Amino acid sequence: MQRTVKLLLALMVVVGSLASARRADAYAWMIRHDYTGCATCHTDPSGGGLLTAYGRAQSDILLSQGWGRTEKDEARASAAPFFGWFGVPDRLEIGAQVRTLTYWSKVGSGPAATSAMLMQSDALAQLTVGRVRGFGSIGFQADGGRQAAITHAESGNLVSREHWLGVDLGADDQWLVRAGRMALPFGLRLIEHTTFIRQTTRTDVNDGQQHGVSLSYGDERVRGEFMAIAGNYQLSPDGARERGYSGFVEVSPFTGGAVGVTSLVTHAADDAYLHVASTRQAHGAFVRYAPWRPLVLLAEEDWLSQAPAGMAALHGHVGFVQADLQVMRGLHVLATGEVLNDGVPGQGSSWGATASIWWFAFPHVDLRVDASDAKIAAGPQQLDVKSVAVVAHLYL
Amino acid sequence: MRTRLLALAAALGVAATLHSGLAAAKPQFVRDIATHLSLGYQPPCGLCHVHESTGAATVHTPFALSMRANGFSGAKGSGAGSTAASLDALAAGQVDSDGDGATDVTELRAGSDPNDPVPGAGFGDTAYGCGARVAPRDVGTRAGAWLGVALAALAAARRVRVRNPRAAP
Repeated sequence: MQRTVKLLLALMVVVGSLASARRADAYAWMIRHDYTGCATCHTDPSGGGLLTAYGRAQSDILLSQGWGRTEKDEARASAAPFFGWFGVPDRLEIGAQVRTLTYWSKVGSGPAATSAMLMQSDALAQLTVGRVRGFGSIGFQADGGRQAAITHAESGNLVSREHWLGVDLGADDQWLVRAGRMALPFGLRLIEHTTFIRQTTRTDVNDGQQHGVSLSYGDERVRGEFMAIAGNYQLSPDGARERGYSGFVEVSPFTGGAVGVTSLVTHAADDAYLHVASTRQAHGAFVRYAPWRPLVLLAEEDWLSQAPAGMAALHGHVGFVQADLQVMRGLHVLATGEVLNDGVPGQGSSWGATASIWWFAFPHVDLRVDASDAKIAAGPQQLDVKSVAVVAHLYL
Repeated sequence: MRTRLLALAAALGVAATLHSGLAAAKPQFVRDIATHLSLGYQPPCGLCHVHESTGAATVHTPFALSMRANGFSGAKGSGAGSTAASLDALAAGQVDSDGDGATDVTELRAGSDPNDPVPGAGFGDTAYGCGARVAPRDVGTRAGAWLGVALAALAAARRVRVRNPRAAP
């Protein structure tokens, strides 16, 4: 009897450790659920984008409002891709994302502007055959996303943000080698792609992906990815393409906490934004910490350097801090602070503060409202920018 | 089942197409700027849009923010008057949005980018899309329109077939 109990305990420990090693990270603040890794819930080992079947189940169990259900209940069948309207083979992961934005903004004493736009309408799929998997996304974007465009219009383009082939390696598939167009592994992977840290380091998940080869690793305590960047082959001329590396390593020394370091160096012969040869660097650190299950703190600070031809190198920094409070299951209140000084002589720092409400109403639907106030440095002037963004997200 | 899926896809395609149609009117602003300042060229979208990604939510380059702080609304149909008045205000205020020592209007007249802190740097010739050739600007819009129409037709045909099996060949 005693031996049986010991065997059961040992089995529970083994199963528990395996389960925790494969847990996922749908959003950086999912660390509140002791999920430090990303690869089991997302097809991208560094998080974001297409969910796996396990990730969809976790989304239903932990993320969406319960409507009377508890975390002990099993995921609903409707949490499956496209509400489970049709069956999908195990080797195939599919999904679709639609995001709409209603946006109000006002700069200084200038007139307010209001607009609505379709931010995203993407179809995503991953096919796995043995240890080999291929991932692709395609969508239509009315505005924006030009760096991911595969057609050539100023607006209204077909886009492919990511497409890659990969091979899982290791006894528990801890390693993944990929080649193709991927999100740059750098710092916190945030859905808030317009934050200073993601825009300034050019590592946003909207259209900041680049082509290259990456190696990623993830277990229950350590995760990381290194990518050799070959450039974005969806823009030209070749001189505008950045080449170099990007990567991060994150360690979780205790449950509910993780700290990482990140680094990026690229060079372009004719930088797409500075229009001269330029080498840019970003090196920093980031933290995720859940001191109390409903509260998660995220922070990232990066040192920036840009060395464009024709002028002295620019040295600055960019910082981000966010508190995510889960008021109740499915309902989050967030406070975000940002700072940026890109080192332009005579130009001060930019600051931003955002208050957000994010409601994961149902397994496939979330709504978010962001109210922001920012002081943006533009040369010697500092402009006051107020904005309100309402984002509706449908994930099929 | 498939009908609902097709209907949903069709709705998304049509919605995307409608959105793209609305967005297609925006290059008026760069034309207005070129006309008012008598430029011999038309500035690119990146003059006002971050990362050259068009859309109202990306009108956040330093130059665009300076324009908006000086009365530019960016609203469709706001007319060339709003653009001209903002440019005049920038010129009168000697606004230098990128801090390179040259005012925005001076830079535009010289053909350099008022968002670029590198003194004298021009706009560059970055092109976007697979193969990144320059093509008529409404290619994607037309592709979206045809995609939407095709999916809508497919969904309608499927619905008719499901409701009236005898209509099937």
